[in-house]
This record gives sequence, structure tokens and C-alpha cells, in this order.
Amino acid sequence: MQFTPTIEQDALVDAVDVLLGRYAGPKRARELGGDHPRYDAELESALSSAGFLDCARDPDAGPLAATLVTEATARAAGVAAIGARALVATALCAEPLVQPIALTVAGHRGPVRYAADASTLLVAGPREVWVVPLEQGAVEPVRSRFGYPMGRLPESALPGPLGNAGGRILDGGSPERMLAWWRVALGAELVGTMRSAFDLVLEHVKGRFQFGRPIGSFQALQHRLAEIAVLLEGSRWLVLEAAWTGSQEAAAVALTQTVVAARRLLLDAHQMAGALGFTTEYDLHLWTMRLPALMQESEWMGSPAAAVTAARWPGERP
Amino acid sequence: MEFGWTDADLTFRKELQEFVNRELEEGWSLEQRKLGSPENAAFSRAFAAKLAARGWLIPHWPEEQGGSGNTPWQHIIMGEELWGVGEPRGPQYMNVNWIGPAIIRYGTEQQRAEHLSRIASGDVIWCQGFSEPDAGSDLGSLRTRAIRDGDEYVVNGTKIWTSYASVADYCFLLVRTDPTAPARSAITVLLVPTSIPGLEVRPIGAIAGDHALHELVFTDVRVPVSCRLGAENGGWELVREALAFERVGAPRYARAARVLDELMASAAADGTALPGALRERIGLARAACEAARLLAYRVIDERAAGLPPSPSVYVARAAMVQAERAVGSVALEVMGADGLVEGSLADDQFRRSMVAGVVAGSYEMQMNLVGKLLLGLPKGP
Repeated sequence: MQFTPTIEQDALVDAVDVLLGRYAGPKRARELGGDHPRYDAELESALSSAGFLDCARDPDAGPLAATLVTEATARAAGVAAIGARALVATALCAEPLVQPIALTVAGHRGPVRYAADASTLLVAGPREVWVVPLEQGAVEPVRSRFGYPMGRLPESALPGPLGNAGGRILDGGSPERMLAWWRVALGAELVGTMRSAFDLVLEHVKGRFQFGRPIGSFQALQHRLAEIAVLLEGSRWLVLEAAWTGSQEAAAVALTQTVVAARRLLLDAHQMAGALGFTTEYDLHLWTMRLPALMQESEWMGSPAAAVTAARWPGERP
Repeated sequence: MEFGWTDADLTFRKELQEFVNRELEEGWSLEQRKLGSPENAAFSRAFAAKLAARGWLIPHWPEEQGGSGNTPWQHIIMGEELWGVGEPRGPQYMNVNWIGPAIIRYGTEQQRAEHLSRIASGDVIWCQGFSEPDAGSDLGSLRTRAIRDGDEYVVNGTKIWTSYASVADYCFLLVRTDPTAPARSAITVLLVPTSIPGLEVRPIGAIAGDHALHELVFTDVRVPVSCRLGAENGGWELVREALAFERVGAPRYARAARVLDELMASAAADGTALPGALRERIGLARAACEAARLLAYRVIDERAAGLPPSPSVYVARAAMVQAERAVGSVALEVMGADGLVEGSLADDQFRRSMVAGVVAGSYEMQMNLVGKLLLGLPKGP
């Protein structure tokens, strides 16, 4: 048990941050369209050619390192499918899939993050995982202002009896494994996104003066901020532990707690940022508006909290 | 960063579990489980003596004080396994966690000789005389006076909501030794036998249990100066240091998590189908316990690295309160009307969860400290 990062982990995060400083960040997110951004192929390719998206395969780094990369990218408001690539795809198959990679579950009908830009779609079926190659332009983009490019998959893009896209069943691809790593990836993205939003709000409440004092000096705000900090820190360690153990239960636990934190942070962050927080000139929305999209996606494979109960107490049946 | 246990820690936990299961199987009645009851005190003496015989009562103490020099990790494993089953050490967990270490650190030769061997053999119960009618979260404003008279202090005042006092042999007492000095700079620690003339211990009925709370009235109690721990007026710093890690000393999340496991096992055995919304809340409660566990581990990690206490302890303690509360309310829902039976799992957990945010420093104080020390929020009006 060791909570401080190793020298290698520190070096990795530093290197990723340097790269993200060049290829991501709020300014870049704005260039890409702000709350309705285009896909950032440049960022993905920069992270990819530096080898950061394959660190889960590196026995010296592993999925924990890939989780740190995913978290850092979300913190920098990156617009690329990093979790799907660095955590989910690497956990499922040894051979590289053509990126960008989008994720969905059989039966999901709504918009899917990154689907309009993805070259590969991974679909969690009831008993198998499908790999579906996506043609450029095959997926209709959906305009959304929840911080990610999205697309709605046509029936024909769905594999098996649902459609006829030429997908294949992934050899040995277990949907449970896919869901576990998808949950870790979502947890890491939520944690990174929340961290940046929270830091911005902290800065705001310290510098915004009303009634002759910083609003962060009022206990009405302090306790709410402290509670969010407790939830956020707990979530982060749970996500990292889940990445380390790779267990389904740990992944469901981590995502459950992370969504609790996100629900709290989302409303309070905007309440505390006041009218400034609603403006697009202020950066807060670049992170907060992504939270509902990530929270939604967390439910596609069933509620994570119910998954905790199912994984922890398999003998007890609903 | 890694989240695994060493083989030594795993073996330690397994051996401890086997020992605890064996010991509790022989008898651990409802009365014996009520923390602070006479039956609980008697059970704790027998149980702690057996732990001591195996070298497991004070494993994390320095070897020259009879400990095994074990790691803080094995200390938290002890805490989890013993709190998890309802704390068979009874009130003695406090001795082992911080009263003993405080005496090791600040005690005179005579005090060490008098107290440490009894603590180490599992045969002495302490209570902590901290709160007063007008000094709870604002502990620095305590008013119990100790006026020096030759080789003695004359103590007058009232302590209240004191746990375990009716079964305790000693009180770790905070007094004010200089009424003219600013609040925190005139507090002194006295190690007082509860049998001392002039000390009256009155039980206070409590929803947390009949033996949980007491009032201690000191009337001209003459305490020898040799019972003073540390310097006169040096009590505030001493207690702050002694209790630095105590906010995670009782791993309450471990009990809460165990209660959920037991509730679900009995629901499965009865074939009870739990509704989806309840299964959802059960999952949320389990996640809260897990978050508290990791946040407590982070504190232990800092302690193991020899770092000074950081705001992590307040974060961990707040998370524990959240976890206990989540399990307390969900436990009643899972058990339904059966949870109203005295001594049922839900009854016990719900009562524990009610006091969770008050004992060992209120939840709001943790929030203040997280805001100030971790988040750097500006000072309030």
C-alpha cells in the first residue's frame, strides 16, 4: 500500500502534462468549439506517438499509469477518446484497434461520445464484445452542448442481429471486463474533469468579494466545498485502486462514488460561481458541462451502485 | 503508488481473524457487546489479556515499551478486524491507540511504571475527561480548574458526556491551570484515578446505550502533582499531538461495511427480494465505506512514512461519518420492522451512525478544518 506516486509515475504525469500543455487546455478546447467541440485528432495522435496510450500494456506501468494519463487529459479538457483507447481497448485485445475508439452497449439508442469521429466501435453485448469498423461519415453527428462531439449510430452500424455493419465478435472479449475498464475510464475522466472545475471554483470564492469579504470565507460555502473535497478525494483513490486491482466490484464502487461527487459538484460549482459561471467567457463550463454526459454514460451498462450490490453479494438476487 | 498488501500483512490479518472468530464464538452476548457496560468491561479485560499474551495488544508500540515494533499498517488491520466485529477490546482501544503512546512520549519514569504495564497487559480501562457543559467543539474554552496547592492540584469542575467513566480505572483529564491565561495556553493534563475522593461519576441515559455517557463532578479533588502528564499549561499541544491520528483510530467504516455484509447474507438466507431502489442505496453505502477505507489508508500511509499529520485525517474522518450514516439508514430499510428489535444489526448500526458525527470531534469541525487547511479558504466572519 503506497499512496505517493513512484518516481516513474511522477515522471509520466509530468511528461503527459507537458504534452497536454501544448496540445490541450481550455484555450484549445475553445478553438475546437468550446461546449460543442470538434474531435481533437492532433491531441490523440500526440499522446499516441509518445506512447502514452499504450502504457497499460507496459508491465512496468500498467493500467494504473493509463488511468493517470486519462485523468490528466480530462483535467486539461482534452477532446479525444483517451480512456476508451488507453484503458478499455488495451484491456480487451492484444492487437491495436484503429483509433479513435467509441464505446457503446447493445441496446443503447442515444448519442454516443466520439461516435461520429471514431474508426472503431466497441459494443458490449450480453455475452460478447463486438468490434465494428466505422466508415468516415457513416455516423450522423449530433449537435450537443455537453462538451463532447457525439454521434447517433444508425441501426446498420450495430452488430449482430441488430444491424449489419460487418462487425466481428472479439476473440475472448468479455463484456464484464469491458464494463469494468469502461467504468474505470469514466471514473478517471470524471475525476480529472471535476478536479479542474473544483480548482477554478476555489480560486473564484477566494477572490470574489461581496459584503467586504471573500465569499469563500462564509461557512455556508465552506462546508459545501469541504464535502465536495472529501467526495472528490475518495473518488480519486477508489478509481486508482480499481485500476490497480482490475476487479469488477472495485470498478463499480469507484464509479458509484465518483458519480455521487459529480452530482454534488456540478450544481454547487455553478451556484458558487454565480452569474460569471454561466458565461462562456469563463472556463468553468468547459468542464462542468461535460459532467452530465459522463454521468449519463455511467448508467448505460446499468447503474453502478446496483452493480456494486450485484458484485459484492452475488448470492442475493433482486 | 500501489494498493496491495504485503504477505506479512495478509498473514497477520488472517491469523487475527481466526483468533477473533474463535474467541467470540465462545461467547459475546448482547450485554457484552454494549461498549462501556460492566459486562463489556469484564469481557474486554479477558479478551485484551489474551491479545496481550499473543503480543497483539500493543504491536505498534516501540519494542522497548513492550511492543513488537509492528507497522502502522498492522495497527489499522487490528482496528479494522476488531471494530469490524464490534470492538471486543471495549474501551481499551483508546489506551492502545493513544493514551499509552502519550504516556510513553510525555510520562515520567514513575508514570510509565505505573501505567504502561497495566495497559500492555489489557487490564485497565481509561476514560477521557474532555467535554464540559460549555466546552464541546470549542474544547479550548474548558473551565474545570486545577489550583496548585503545594504538591497537589485542587480540582473543581464538571466534565460531561464522558464515555466509559463508570467502568474506568483512570481518567485522562484536561484542566485549566491558569484562569488568567488565554484559552488554550493554560490547559494541563492530569492522569487521575477514578476512585479518588471528591470525584462523583453519574451515568447519563443515552440513546447510544445505557452505559455510554456520564457526568463527572470534581469537588475539591486533590490530585498529586506527580499525576500531571507533560508540562503545566502544556496540555493543548500534548493532546493535539496525541490525538493527531485518533480521528482514524477507530476504523468505523470497517464495522459499517461488515454490517452491510451481514445484512445481505441474512437477506439472501431468508430469500428476501430487495427492491431495486434499495439495492441502489446499498451500493451507494458500500461505496461510501470503501471511500472511507482508502482515505483512512492514506492517513496510515503518511504515518508509516513518518510524515506529520496532514489535513488528510480530517478528510478521512468526514468520509467515515458519511459511510456510517449511509449504512445506518440503509440497514433499517433492509431489515424493515425487524430492525426495531433491540440489539438487531440495524438497531446497533443506526445508533452508532447517530453519534458518528459528534464523537471524536464534530463533523462540522472536520469541515472547518478541511476548508481551512486543505482548501485554504479565507477565515470566516
